[in-house]
Amino acid sequence: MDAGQRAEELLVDLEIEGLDASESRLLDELLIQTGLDRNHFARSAAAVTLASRMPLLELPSGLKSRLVEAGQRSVAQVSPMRRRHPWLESAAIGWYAAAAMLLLAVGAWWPGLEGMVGPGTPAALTELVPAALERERLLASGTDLFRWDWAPTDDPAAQGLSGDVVWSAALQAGFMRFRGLQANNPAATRYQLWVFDADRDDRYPVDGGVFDMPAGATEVVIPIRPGLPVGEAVAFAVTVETPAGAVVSSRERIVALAAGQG
Amino acid sequence: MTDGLMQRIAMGDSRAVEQVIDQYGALVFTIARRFTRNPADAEDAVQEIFTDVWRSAHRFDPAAGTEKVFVTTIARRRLIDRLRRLSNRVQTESSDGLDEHGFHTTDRAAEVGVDAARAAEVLATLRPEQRRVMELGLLHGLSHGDIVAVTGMPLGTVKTFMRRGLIEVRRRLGVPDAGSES
Repeated sequence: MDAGQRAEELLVDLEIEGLDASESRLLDELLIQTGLDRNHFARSAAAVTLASRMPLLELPSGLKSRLVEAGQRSVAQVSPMRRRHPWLESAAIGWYAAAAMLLLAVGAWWPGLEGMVGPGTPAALTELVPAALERERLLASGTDLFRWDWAPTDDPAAQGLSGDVVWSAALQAGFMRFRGLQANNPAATRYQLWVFDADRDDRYPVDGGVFDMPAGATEVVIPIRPGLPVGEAVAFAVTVETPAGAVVSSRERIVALAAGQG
Repeated sequence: MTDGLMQRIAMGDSRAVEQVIDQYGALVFTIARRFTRNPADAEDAVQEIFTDVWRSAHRFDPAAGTEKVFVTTIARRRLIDRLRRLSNRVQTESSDGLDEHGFHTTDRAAEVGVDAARAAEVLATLRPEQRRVMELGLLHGLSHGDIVAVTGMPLGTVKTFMRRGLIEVRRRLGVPDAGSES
């Protein structure tokens, strides 16, 4: 059985009975190999469900009241980030205006990822293997996780880019996985991660730290350990910055965004 | 008119909440009842589903289907997660309670929506045993193993019927492959 057939089997299982952690990990790998996505059969499964002749049941009135009350409370709390969504469309002006406040706020946490891949020293692939194993362990833990695919931009560094973000709000940790991200020269530029938090103003995304992409690596897994708490992550973005990283990104070079799927 | 409800929710318009529930509440409750043991379980599940709808509204993409399809997909995913989490998938070794409501005929697109009508077209072409497999799995929330128990078909046959059926529906819907131009 080839990778495409196996991926298709697991995608059907996903729609019928869900996957356990090991199946989910295998599917992740197969999706990268095949270029399929997790929603491959989602619309079809929904369409078959909607084709049912089964008569609709009336929503109990008490339940409706509870749903409306909880829903209005939840929706009213939508953050400015979501109201303007996403930051490619939002005003960069806000970032510049916020620079002074942000400088005060960042304090001692900078930089979150520095040292994971040594500054100016692109890591050998072997140094990154433990991160891949840790990612596997996190996925296997199974709870309170989401996995979002990277959406590459038109930036030259992102040509052929794929991969994903795995994040656990409970652990305040996660992993970025990249394939096809252009190798950088740390003396000239570095990549920087930003985490958008629904509980914060989108002018102040949490700095996820800087990292490098070693030459010759086919796939790299990089831990995410933001220096500030992230309440509800709603998007992740990678920019290209100077070797020292940026306190406030100019957003001149946005490489990838991950903001989840339905 | 339901277009734009998800966008309004994503923009924080709480006035759209009741409209969403009026539009999709009965649908979600009906799906939930099929996947759960009793009305109380279903009510809990419906609350989880709508919590997810509010959180996920900003991800709605009209190019990937209607709002009804979007809400149904969330409902299905949450119910499957819930079954796995609570380890209380509807257990059955017989077809008791699994009424054969079947699928719509193909001439009711205006009533059931384009995606559902196209799915019905595909389902109408399937052999009855394959249609039954899809009904048990997708309408009643039975696992492949449960379908084996109910129908007596081999597991491989059940899985093949399900996979081929979904592939045909997907093809009929014209869903583009990931990474292809849409």
